[in-house]
Amino acid sequence: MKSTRLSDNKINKYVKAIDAAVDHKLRAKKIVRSKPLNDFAFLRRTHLDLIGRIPSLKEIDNFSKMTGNRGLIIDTLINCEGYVSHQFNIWADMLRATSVLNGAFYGDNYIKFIKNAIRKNKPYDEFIHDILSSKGFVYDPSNGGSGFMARDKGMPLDHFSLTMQTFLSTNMACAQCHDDPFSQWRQSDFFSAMAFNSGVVVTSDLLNFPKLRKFKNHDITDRQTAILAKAVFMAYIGSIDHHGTGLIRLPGDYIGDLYENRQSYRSHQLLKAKVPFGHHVHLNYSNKNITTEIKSKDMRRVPGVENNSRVKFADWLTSKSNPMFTKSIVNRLWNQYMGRPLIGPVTDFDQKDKGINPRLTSVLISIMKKVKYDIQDFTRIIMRTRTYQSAVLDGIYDSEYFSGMVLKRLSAEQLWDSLITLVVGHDIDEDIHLPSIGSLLYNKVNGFSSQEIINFIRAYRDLDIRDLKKKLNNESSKLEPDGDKFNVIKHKNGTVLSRKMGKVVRLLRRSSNLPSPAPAGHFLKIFGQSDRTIPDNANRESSVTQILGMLNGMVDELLIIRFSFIHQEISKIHSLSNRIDSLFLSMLTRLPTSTERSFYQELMKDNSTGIGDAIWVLANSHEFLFRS
Amino acid sequence: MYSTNRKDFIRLTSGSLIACSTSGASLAVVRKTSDRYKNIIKAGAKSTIFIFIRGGISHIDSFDVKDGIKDNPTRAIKTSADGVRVSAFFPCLAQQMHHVAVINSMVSDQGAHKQGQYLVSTGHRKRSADLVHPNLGAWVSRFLPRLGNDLPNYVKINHISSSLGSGFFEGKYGALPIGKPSMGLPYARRSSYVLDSQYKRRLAFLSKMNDRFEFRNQHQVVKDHCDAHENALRLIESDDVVAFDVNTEPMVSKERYGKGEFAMGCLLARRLVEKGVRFIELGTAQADWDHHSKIYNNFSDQCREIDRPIAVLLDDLHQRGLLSTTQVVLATEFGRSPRLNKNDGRDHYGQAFSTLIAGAGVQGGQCYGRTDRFGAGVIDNEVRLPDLNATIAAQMGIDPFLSVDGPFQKKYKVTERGKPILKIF
Repeated sequence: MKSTRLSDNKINKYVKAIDAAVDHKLRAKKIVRSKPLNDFAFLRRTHLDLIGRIPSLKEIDNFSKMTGNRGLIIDTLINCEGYVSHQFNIWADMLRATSVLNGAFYGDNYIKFIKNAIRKNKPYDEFIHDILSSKGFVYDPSNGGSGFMARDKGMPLDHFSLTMQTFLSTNMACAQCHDDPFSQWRQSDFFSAMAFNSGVVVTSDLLNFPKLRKFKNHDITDRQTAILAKAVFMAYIGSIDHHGTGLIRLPGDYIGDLYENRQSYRSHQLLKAKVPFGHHVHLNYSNKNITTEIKSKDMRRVPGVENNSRVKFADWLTSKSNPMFTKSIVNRLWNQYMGRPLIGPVTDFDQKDKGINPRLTSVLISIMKKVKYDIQDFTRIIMRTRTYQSAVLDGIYDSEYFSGMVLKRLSAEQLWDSLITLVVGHDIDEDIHLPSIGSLLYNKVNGFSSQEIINFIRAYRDLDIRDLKKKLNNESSKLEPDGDKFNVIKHKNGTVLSRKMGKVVRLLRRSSNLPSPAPAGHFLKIFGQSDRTIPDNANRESSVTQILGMLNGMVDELLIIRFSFIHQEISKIHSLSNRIDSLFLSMLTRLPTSTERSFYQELMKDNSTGIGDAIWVLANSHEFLFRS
Repeated sequence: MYSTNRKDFIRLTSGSLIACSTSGASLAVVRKTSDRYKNIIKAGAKSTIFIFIRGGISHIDSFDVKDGIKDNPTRAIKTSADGVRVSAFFPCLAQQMHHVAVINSMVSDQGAHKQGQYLVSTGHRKRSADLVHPNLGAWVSRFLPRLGNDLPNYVKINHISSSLGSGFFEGKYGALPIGKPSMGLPYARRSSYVLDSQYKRRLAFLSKMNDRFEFRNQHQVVKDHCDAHENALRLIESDDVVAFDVNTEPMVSKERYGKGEFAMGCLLARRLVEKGVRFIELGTAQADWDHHSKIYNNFSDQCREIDRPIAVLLDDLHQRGLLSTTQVVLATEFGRSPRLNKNDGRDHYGQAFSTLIAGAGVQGGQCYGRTDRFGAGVIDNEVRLPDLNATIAAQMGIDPFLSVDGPFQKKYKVTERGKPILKIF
């Protein structure tokens, strides 16, 4: 286990500061804190929040011995693979990490990069700087952060506007096309800021490879070879090139000028890069006299020469002195653990806005800076606060000032992963990395000359792309079938639930090991998983479709079958009352009340279906579906 | 999401927004409205199928083709309506244009997808971060009576993610989402492994279990969940639920619509209209219409995917006598730039684009509004997206000029200053 960088003393100091800031507001508003969380509720909440699933019976047993030291429980959970799995889901929503990035690239390298950053606890500022300044091949294992830009290939405006929303909670989207009447952003502000990225391209065409272009145009005739060649080309040339010129032209359809009293601009006018707020960023322009005159031949060419403007922008964005960077991530993490942000929605709030408890916001910002953007340390601190360890408020109103925890339905991923825990047991957290054909080809052809690429394509032109992948992967997918109406099969890529006729119906892997995002109609989709095309697009709204799925199928198909872990475990227990206790612990992480005990005795007295019925009732209960 | 407790403030104001219907299946009548728009609000659409082309379809390559212009290789073809031409990518739809009014003069001031899609679905611009307007479908869901069955008023087909549209209304006014129309509404029936008596027993215990939780946690999220739960139970008992299963459709008619999730979505939409579902949002399946680069690589394939199903949908509705009471709308968040960019793609373009509207009193075979010869700007009868939504709302019987109380002690109309387009009827 990794040793904690922060001493307990320091942690306690920060914890006290946070609680004091919350208390201060509560006193002023005459609001009483809700009661502290009991040990079982603490275990359930920390498991869901840190490793994204409910604890198994065995885990509850182990942790019960540690309840006196909640800090240790938190540390233990942060250090396990389940933490990587769950935090990945959250980062993937924010960073739009998908298995297929767009028509040209796969996202496996990007996904691996994010998981590694979580696992190695890369400081947040460094992590984001890596993403924003990545240069080089998209499939280069050391350049995974390039996925963030590669996924927006051909959409520089959207890419920049989403960058501002994601990391600085600054919404300049409207100013992409016109001055924004609802905020201070002018279209020229947007383009001046975007100038830092000017010239940076996601290369995916053969423009600089005449030999390959000729080969592609003349020698490739059949569809199969064309598909193969495209994959090889993408792996060979796909890259982020150029580090920016810091000069940009306003678009031809520039509208601008809503505010007449400010300087006005013209279409095609040349702008120098300028950050929209915070400290000034100085760029060196080689040509001192930049002309604003427009010649039609210049229109489509990127103005200026490379001067590292993109890296300078990354420096500015991730710097401690950026007024939005720290506030934005602090707000995100607070929202993630407390169920409600300090300030507005996480991708959109004002620079001056310090939220409903400004003192708390300031305290959190200063802690984040003091722990040097160490996300795990920051998480440890939040989780140790009395504020986090408060029960959900009884009654109608949500707690406005963090007097208690906000009640939320489990996210799609938390719910799926919890169900999988019940189906196959808690040994599911291990990361399964499956390289895409892109990565496999990159490993093969990286460093080839054009002629070698041509030879490679010729050599494999008879192979279907799937066969080629199999060959490169050297992977044989062996399924070992079993009896019964459903089969549960141990497979090296995760447990598989299949129907008797051999058709695979479900991959029983954690959501972080499934395609990102899950395909339409998948459980995760039904429960509101983000499509990961815009940041933070998941939702936790309840729908009829979800409830029908739980009532009429998924629970029966997954949990109430012979192979289900929970079903097996409970069946092994002899006494009815122990069965009830174990069921409650396994599913709700608590013991039943005496009333519940008596009515579950009635429910489970029928031996043939009793266990199944009890599992069904518990899995469908509100208590199971909500994180309290 | 975190302004849910403000929902309690929402009340009807200024008389009634929609007077309730007199008998089960009759249409809502509006009591109070300006004379000028009275006719349209009476016109009477029972249902709306709102087809949403996600990503922004290029207007000059679809319904506003400009011949002989640089950067536009797309050809226009004649259609079943005199004087209306569409692009050659839509040969099937061309045969149905006598039902359709083409609006070529759409404008939007929202140039990014998220904001643009917000405007299309809510009729409002996203102004402040913590105010989420309800989708048009949620207004229908809240203010129009169900038409005599157990199906919800508002269904989203090919729903990808993000919200179900209830906005600042209660969650129960949000859509019932269908992720994959070919699968219909999965698990709408009791599982075959479970006996009826056993199922009843389970449900009885479940409700005992939930009572305690509901009593202790009277939060809006729990209420919304319980409402969904009740609606689910009602559906399980209902015979109408078979409407969701496109596989019960005769093979001939299924094949007519063609293959793919979008085609099945069109078929499902028709089946739901037959059962009286009032607002159906139908998204383009997985296809991405955001053609920033190499637009002509995929464009014809993607058009083929939607051309025939929409054409068949219109014809099918017409033959079943449903088109006179059903509005079919094809909308998108913005158009695409008339000039190709350096990657042979087209970028977002809000200054001119096209939508289609058909059925329920709309005069087919007409073009409304005009753009200049490049398709770069509107020169005649400009229509904003809120105007389109106001038209749809009015046709359904929701008065676009009346408002309800909402969050921040303000009043909200169904659209942001949208005015129904009168001349297309």
